[in-house]
Amino acid sequence: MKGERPVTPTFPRAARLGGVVLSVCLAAAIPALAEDPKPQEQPPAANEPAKETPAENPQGAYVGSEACAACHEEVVNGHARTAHGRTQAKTLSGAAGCESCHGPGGAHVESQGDPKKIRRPRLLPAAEQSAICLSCHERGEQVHWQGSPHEGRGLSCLTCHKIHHPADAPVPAHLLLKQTEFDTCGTCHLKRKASLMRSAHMPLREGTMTCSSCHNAHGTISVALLRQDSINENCYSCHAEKRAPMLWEHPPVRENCLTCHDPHGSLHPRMQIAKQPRMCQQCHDEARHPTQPYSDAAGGPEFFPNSRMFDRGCVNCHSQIHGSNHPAGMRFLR
Amino acid sequence: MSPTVRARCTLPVLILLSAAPAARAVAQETPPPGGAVEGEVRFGLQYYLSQQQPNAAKFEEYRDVPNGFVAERLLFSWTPDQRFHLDVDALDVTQRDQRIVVDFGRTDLWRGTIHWTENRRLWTDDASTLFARHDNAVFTLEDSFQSAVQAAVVANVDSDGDNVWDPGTKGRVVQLAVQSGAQDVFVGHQRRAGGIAFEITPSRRWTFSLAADRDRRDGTTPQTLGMYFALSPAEVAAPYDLRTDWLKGSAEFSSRHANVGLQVSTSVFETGFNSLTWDNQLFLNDTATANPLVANPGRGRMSLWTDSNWTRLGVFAGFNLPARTRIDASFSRIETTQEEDSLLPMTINSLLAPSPLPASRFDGEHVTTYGQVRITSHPFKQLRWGAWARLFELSNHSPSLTFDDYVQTDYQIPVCGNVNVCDANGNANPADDRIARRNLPYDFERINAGAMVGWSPVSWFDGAVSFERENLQRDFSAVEDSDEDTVKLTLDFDPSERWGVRATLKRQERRADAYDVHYAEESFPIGEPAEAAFNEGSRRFYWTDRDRDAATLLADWSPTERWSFYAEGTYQNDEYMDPETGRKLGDSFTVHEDRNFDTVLETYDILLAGRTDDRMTSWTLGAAFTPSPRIGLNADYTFERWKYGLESRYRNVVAGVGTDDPLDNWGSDVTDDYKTANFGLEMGLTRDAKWHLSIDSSCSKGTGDIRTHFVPGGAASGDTSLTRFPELKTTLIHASAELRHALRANLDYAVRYWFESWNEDNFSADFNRPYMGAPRQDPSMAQALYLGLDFKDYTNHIVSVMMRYRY
Repeated sequence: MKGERPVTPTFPRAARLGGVVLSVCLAAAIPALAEDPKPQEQPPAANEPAKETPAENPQGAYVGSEACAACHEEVVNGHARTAHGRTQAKTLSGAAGCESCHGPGGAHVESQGDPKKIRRPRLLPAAEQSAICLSCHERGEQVHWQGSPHEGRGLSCLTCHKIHHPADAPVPAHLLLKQTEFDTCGTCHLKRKASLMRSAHMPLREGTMTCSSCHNAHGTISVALLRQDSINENCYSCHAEKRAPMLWEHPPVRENCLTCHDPHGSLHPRMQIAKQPRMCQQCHDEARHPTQPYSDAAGGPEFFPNSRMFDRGCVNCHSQIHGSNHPAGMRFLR
Repeated sequence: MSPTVRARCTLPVLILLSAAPAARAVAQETPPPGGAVEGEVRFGLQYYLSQQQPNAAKFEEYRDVPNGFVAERLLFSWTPDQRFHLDVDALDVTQRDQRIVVDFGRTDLWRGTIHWTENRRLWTDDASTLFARHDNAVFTLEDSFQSAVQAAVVANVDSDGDNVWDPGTKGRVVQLAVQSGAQDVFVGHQRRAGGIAFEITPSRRWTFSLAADRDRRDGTTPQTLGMYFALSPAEVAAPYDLRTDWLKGSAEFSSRHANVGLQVSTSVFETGFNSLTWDNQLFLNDTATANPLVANPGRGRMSLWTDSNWTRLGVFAGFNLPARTRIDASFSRIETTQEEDSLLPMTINSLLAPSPLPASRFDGEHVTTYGQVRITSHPFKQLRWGAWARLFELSNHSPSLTFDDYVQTDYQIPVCGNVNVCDANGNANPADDRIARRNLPYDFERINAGAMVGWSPVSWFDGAVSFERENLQRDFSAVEDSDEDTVKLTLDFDPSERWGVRATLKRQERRADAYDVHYAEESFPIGEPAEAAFNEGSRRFYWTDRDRDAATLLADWSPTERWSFYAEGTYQNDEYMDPETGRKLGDSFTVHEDRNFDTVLETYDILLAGRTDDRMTSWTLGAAFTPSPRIGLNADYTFERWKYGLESRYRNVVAGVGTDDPLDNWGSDVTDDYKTANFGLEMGLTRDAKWHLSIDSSCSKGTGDIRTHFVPGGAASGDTSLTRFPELKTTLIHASAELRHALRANLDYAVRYWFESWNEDNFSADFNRPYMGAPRQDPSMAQALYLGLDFKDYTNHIVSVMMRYRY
């Protein structure tokens, strides 16, 4: 028998890592914060062209969105209905409106609309596309974009988002390229799209949940782009009843909900990864609990299940399988 | 119409009525510069043309599909000036699955969001019960029924073989009572979640946010109840009253060079019912037996969910450095505490007198710590690299309590039974050494560290290779220390906009330093003879050594503007090995071990039981065709297969020894298949786009097959009728067609047809009924009382006419 459980300090290894994290933050923060140009705190008004000269930029000078509207009226009108169209904020280069993303339009205007003389983000490499967006959006949900799996595979913001939408149709939420979030994610995640149709599923098909209920496609600090710190914390954000420390813990439950459940859908009730009782038997030998599917229906055509096989199988009796707080609940029967 | 339904209808109708005149007025004029009202309303009538299963619970498992008026959607956007906006998006507001989001604010300064979501959760079409529910989750049976069952001497005899239990047996009494007296009961609950969030950005550098959310679920949920072993199992529609409240705040500083943020969240979870008490159908009152440590309970009591508090503090920072390098670091600490006032008693059986509990309450506490540092860099156009380290630690600060007299299912105080193992009082009498139990505060720590380098020598190719090591350490586990190495290679080809290929290859090797089958003995302060024997052959798949090979491939090809093809394939293969011997799971080997603790070694064969291997494969083929700007078609097909092998070791351990005939062992090969096909069509029927047809359809079939086998020559305990599990099948077919006709630029209507069919052939659920103890089934179910949960198959044909008015 092992000895008593060693006393764990409140901040064991975590404290050391936390110290490293904070040290790195502080070391990098001082010069980084100091470098930020102060004047951007109070950008010029949106309707004033930024003061950048052609000599500084081969695209020429900023001309303002009204100049763009002279030729691209429909685009500008559609754009005006979106949050991008409403914002008065300027980029750190001082640009506003169309030129926030397309860069100075002076040369483009002077050349009577030469498409080569204006920045067209969709034609840029993915990293440069995203850099344009991140110049304003590298915060909040997007703060962990660089280094995220999607960024690493050459995706850009424009892979999923579309900035310009027609003026006569509803603008999709979050300026998505497709009408729904699930359609957008399902473009690449074909297997996940199919799993939505499984018998036991989360209410994505019904619209109560979306992919972003659990994942942040822009990058997170967690695995699998999960919104929370771990898989279990992700599940607890809706299933808070399962998070409490229990007197009798069931280790696989506490370690990872995915040991037993497939949140993307399953053939088996409650999104279990396997059929009862075989799911439990992946870890538990049969002791006093013979569960071979013996058929007692020797004289009949039907298959008659025994009490350990129907419905919830082992959980018919071990019903508190997520953990029990009853003094007599060690085997999750109470 | 019920008051609730009336109330639900009132809100949307008022919104529609109030919005319509204003909308009309606005729509007829050119929106003033910088200010406009726009949006749309969709409403209409919806009718079930026919239903094979009216209001099927599976169809409405998470949703509400009414027959009649439907306020499908309201979009309302008001921008009185260039800066302020108010957006409302409300779906199904007359229904019990409504979703409403209100977003408002002053652009570039602040933003508020209010959201509200409801959905239902149905568990069955029909359920009935003999139990009567009282306050505080107490379920009772009629005394006369309990007395009659108790008085019947024989449990289950069908002497004449007529498939009906003989008169006077307990089974007959229970069966008749269910047939004549069981009452219908609703099993389902409603979820209502809402919240309000406020975000302010006083300058482009700073963002502050505050959010409050609440989640309420009330109704009933199925709860199975075991009295002792399987003699009187039961099931009730347990009350369900879960209340969660969240409060979240954050502050973030962002600039061209850095982001620094702080997040604070707290949450309170409360349940209306922390325990459930129910009558035992076999005994009216607690009844003594000849053994003073065994007494038949008249009632049982179990714990349900427990109240808890949760608090999270998180900080993160990201810094953009030269050479397109970014460092991200984050750290969070979550504290979760259990908030139950007191422990339940060990038993409510008045004839059992265990020792007092070691504590009046269980002060459970988990502290979860998460930290991450990541650096990524693109120093050159052709080169990128990254490195990361993550730590996740669940530290269990809960006390480890020792319960001197453990009571099993309100029925007995079990004894050790083997003086070689536990003779606590030294009297060599195995009958009086009561089993003691200690709870083990399980916890673990996971550390990952890895690095990646990517190379893109030409614009159309990018390759990256990464290595990561994960170390996992656990307390109170068969495996307390294991490492897993992962090597990953990604190859992305994007030679043109017309085609691209993305491939990922991965190899993982997990190795444990040891596998201690005796780990659970720590839970037995005076020892226990059977625990190790139960576990000695078992190797749990999430702890064992594992080799994993995985590959994914994603390809798309657009040979012309009209055609596009896409495909995805995945493959993953796992092999599980015993950390002690290196043998593959499923192998048998001979060991010499003192199994009954009498200091004499026994020789026996042991099967390494558990999941032996698994393999997951899937592939998708799809195509999209756009023959003209007015027509678009798409179709795809996905096949998925998950196979795993499982070997089971049947043990009947008595006092450390028992039937250990290797011929008892058996195994199974499981195959779950999913086949899903989708088809969609979008077609403008006329050049002026006034008529439009949309079709969306899918068909998904799932099958689960379990083939069983003995070891060669096997015949478990003389019963050779090991049969194959019946195949499980589910089929979901969905098809919808919408014909839309635009009457005006801002007014159209749609005629829709919606077909949905679901059927399931599930042997374990199809037999569910309140009384399941008929002869020729498991005899132990002759006295069982269940709810009879089952989702019935359904086929629905629904038509609707929906008006859409844009303003």
